[in-house]
Amino acid sequence: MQRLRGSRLLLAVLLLVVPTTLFAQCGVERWSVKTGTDADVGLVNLNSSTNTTIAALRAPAAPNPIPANNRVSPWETTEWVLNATLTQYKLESDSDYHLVLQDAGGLTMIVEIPSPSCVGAGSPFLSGITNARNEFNARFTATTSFQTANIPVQVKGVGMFDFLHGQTGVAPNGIELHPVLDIIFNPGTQTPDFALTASPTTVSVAQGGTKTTTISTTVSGGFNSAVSLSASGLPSGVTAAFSPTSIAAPGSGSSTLTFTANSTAAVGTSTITINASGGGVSHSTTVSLTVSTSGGTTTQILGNPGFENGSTSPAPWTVTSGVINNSTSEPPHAGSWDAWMDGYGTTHTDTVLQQVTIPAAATAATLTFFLHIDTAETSTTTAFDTLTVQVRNSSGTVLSTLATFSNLNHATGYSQKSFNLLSFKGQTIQIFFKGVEDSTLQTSFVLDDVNLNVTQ
Amino acid sequence: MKKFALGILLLCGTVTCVLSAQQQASVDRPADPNFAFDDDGGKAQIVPVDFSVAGPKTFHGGPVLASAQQVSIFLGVGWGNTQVRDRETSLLDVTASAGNAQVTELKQHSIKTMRAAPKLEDFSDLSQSKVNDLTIQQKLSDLLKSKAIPAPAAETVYVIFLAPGIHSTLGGLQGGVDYVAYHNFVNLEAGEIHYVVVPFHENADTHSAAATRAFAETALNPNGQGWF
Repeated sequence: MQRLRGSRLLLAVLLLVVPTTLFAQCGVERWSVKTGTDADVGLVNLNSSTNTTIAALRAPAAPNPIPANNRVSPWETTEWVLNATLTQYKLESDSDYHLVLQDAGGLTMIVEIPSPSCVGAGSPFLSGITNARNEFNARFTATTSFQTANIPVQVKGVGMFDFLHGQTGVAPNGIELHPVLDIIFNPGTQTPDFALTASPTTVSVAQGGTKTTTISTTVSGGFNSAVSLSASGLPSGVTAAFSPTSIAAPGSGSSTLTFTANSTAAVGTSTITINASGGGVSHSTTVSLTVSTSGGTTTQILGNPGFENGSTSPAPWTVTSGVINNSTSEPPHAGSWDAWMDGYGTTHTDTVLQQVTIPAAATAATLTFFLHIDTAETSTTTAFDTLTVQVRNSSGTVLSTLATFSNLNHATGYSQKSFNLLSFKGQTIQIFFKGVEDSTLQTSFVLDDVNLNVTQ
Repeated sequence: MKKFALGILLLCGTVTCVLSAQQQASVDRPADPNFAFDDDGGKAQIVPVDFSVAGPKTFHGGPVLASAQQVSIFLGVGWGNTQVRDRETSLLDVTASAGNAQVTELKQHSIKTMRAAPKLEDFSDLSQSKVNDLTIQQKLSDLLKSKAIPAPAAETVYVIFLAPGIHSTLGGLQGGVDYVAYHNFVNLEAGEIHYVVVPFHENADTHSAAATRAFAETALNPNGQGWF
């Protein structure tokens, strides 16, 4: 998000000389259908796929009229799998990747991969679109001009009738796979696989309490199977439950893992192994679980944790000018306000700080916050703009750097971060966020619902 | 590296320096010079900067409009300026003047030109100086939803006159550099929308002529398969 504050001349120059594509835009026509926020999206069956061909998809007549915000069954309610050759690709101004596929007989059709940033958070297609976009980016760099290719692909996507508009490679009936949810290059040479992650990877739970972490899977190489989940290495008195207990085929999704510690659970930190298996493939990841003593009460000790006091009275936070925000440009995780750090596209530093004392009797102290990062940076390797999360003493001396985030961590929506601060019990510390932005291309670090939960 | 690049941009000083030249050289264009790729993968017909000579048209089998009615939208804060606003009168009904070559052409194809509908002035201070075709489509969608403009009928052609200072783009092309107007269509909840976009031109006659040409081409070729 670009904010106009000072430096108007610089911004004006940039607006005039930088290609329009820098300011990513989304489409208009049938956009809800193209990205899965339409009224009929619930009719799309994502639990199974149907093999098809370009010829078969080109066969039906285009509906007349084509509904603006509804789907035409079965073409637009089916997840299709198509094997063909990718011959052309281009980045459109609506942020779509426009791909032209061709079969052995020379018949063509279009498939499109939208930008995840143009997909509503409630869309069931979002994870698939993100997956396909990453798969394509790993192989090609789409630009605003058509580039040619000649590579076999297997594409999975949902059908969509587009209006005929002279599109390059368009099928006579306007059918497309839009959005693409998975794309495999050189199918048959790829090994079906999935990746497994946990977030957060550090969890603290008091005796008698429960805590959760999210287990996620993403598939590649045509993997298409349910993935079952289990946990091992649990300390005495702790149980683990997954909801759902397995990820449905094709194997991309998430499950909430709940740790429940009984009143006599063993106190201490354990490494829990999360096992996932399906389709003959197994993977594991770990979560660090700390069980603290019971009998205590957990209290959230930060003031104004969601910044809901507004911009005129941010105390007890100390913030730099313009950080406390209630604009719709960067909406909050919850409530009405958030802390929007940076986002100027010029050299700038924002800080957010609150001083707090962690009681000496604390048996657990966990800092959590929700963070959203968006950026105009395009690098996938260089951290130009950074957000550092630190614990400092009351004089401002850094005691620990908990994490550093950057433009490389940009993502749609918020994600929760969690840090164990028990080692600072008995101390007065400053929770310190510092966002540093370089001279061009904005990165916004948006912070909300900062909690420091202390059990004693 | 980024700072170096920014320095170069600032030193450039004018918008038509190196970057602009490079952009021109690399723009993707359909084979027909009077068409451009639009912003979501389709094609739109443009009125080129030098449009004094119109070549013969060929029929491509698609629909044409039986009649055409102009609905003018004066878009942008610049139209609020009194001197600029004075020009609106000459643009309100671009086929009204007798002897207009485009009107003659439309008559030859049995296309009736209707009296223009009342105009809409939208003096929005657009948040960006560049307005591409997606922005136009979204604006039309918003205006239709709010009923600020009449719902489209078969003959409706929305003619959007951009205020001074708004830089029009279409795909990789730039208003004033590659075209003086263009027309396109989009399907919204209200139905199929035909529209013309006319960037502001300092010369009032050129401004009006460009709008007239694009309006006529909309009637003759509303969906890309008519006469062109």
